[in-house]
Amino acid sequence: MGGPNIPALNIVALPTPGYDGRGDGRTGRDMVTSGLSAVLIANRAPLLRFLRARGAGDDAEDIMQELWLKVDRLEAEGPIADPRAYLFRMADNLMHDRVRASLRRGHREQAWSETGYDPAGQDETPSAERTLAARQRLRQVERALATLGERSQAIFRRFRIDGVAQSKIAQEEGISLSAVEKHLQRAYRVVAALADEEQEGDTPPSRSQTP
Amino acid sequence: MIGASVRDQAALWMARARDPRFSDWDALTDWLEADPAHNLAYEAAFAGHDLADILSTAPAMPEVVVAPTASRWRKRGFIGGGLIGTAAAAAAVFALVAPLGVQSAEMVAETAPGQHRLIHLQDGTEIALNGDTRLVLDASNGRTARLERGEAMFNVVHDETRPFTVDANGTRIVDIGTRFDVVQSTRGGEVAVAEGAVLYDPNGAAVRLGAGRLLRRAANSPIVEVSQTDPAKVGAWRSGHLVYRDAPLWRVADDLSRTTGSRIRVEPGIANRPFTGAIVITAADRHGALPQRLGAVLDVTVARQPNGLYLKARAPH
Repeated sequence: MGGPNIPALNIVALPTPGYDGRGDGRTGRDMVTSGLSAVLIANRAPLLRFLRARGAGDDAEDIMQELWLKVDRLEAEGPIADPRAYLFRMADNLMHDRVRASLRRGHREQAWSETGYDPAGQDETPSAERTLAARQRLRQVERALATLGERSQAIFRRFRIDGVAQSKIAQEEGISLSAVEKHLQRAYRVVAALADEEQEGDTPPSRSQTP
Repeated sequence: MIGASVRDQAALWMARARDPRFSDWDALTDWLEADPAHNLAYEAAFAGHDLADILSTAPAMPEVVVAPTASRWRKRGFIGGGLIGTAAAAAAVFALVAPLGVQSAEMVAETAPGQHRLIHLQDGTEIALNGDTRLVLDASNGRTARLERGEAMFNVVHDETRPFTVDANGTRIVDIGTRFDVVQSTRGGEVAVAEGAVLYDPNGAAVRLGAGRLLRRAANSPIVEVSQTDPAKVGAWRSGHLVYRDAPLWRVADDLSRTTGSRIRVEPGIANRPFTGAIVITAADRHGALPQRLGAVLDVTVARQPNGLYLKARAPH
């Protein structure tokens, strides 16, 4: 793995407990901690800023704490190529999970469970309807993506399903990275609109998009 | 109302941020901070990202192998339904009852090559055994099975408090409410999930496999390989359909042996050659029509041997 590596910090001794000035009492175990935790501490401010921008509001500090706990549990996982980006990604996912959870709790929950739509994939209840609904959804997504060119579709699949990095796709296709981004942007635009429609439920879908 | 240009920008940021090598989170923060609508559009794009995951359930490859006579076979398989009827007739159906007063009773269910058997457990769980299979059930709790050899499709009635566990290839698999297929042979093992999810090796690697996931592990190897499979085709052997995506030939031969009852072996040199396609077993196959068909579909030379078939590389023209 290439990329902009921050040198791997395996074990670091932190200056003193209460380093971040919050004095949250999490002392004792803090004397020795993993590289990832150290990166988290060093990037506390930008992460908080990101969380707020992602809609955390007054909960930003709490979510920061949640992030800390998650990182704490990850200690044994081995080196991470870009720990800073990794933490932002965790924060990004955490915020996304919260949105999904609150949507599930909301009045849309019923519509979703009826159609079996669970983007988190956490509802494991198997059922014939669920399979049917999944098939319908698959067709919808395929139909929506079919409005794009073959190349955009192929690139999106390569990225989203095969999990190939954009730089690799650029190589494969012999195009620039920003061209790959453009293809993906179009695909994301389409699937985002479709997800919007799903969440609208019974209310008529807004069809303001389609550039 | 979120404008089109904001949605465009959000789609671009989503595309960038989902890349594993993305690192410019500060620039993303700047953009998000500029207007609360940006975050809403970003979340919508994120929901689209989730939604697109459904594409992973679509087979990327055609289901039927492109071979001169493939469509004809397929048709015959569906009309004749050969093995379907035979299998149903041969299926031994019985309920598992724990003998009273026995602490740890083991019940052994075994099938001969070419024989299918369906086991009903008391809790409603069903286990379909393919041919040449040996499954040991712990009758005292009815929720533990050990696949010693062969292939079994589990249709588990989920019970949160009593998860169903399957031991195969020296590894444990725990259901999370599901239908899944397990193969165990001397060469290794496979777990394929049709619905729900299973946890593979819960106390070790703890790999969660959702619907459409296929896990392979070679015998004596610590490495597990997870790939996609068509969830609708998992366990299709029960109706005589053998469907593969990049499966090694030895695996295909093992399945054919189990399903047809004739012993099929592969020349070591081509044993790992990948095969993608579908084979529909018909009644005629059980009466000797298989060899010619296999030759074409698997691109091999089929030699008859006293106790079965031997698949060899085709001689170069």
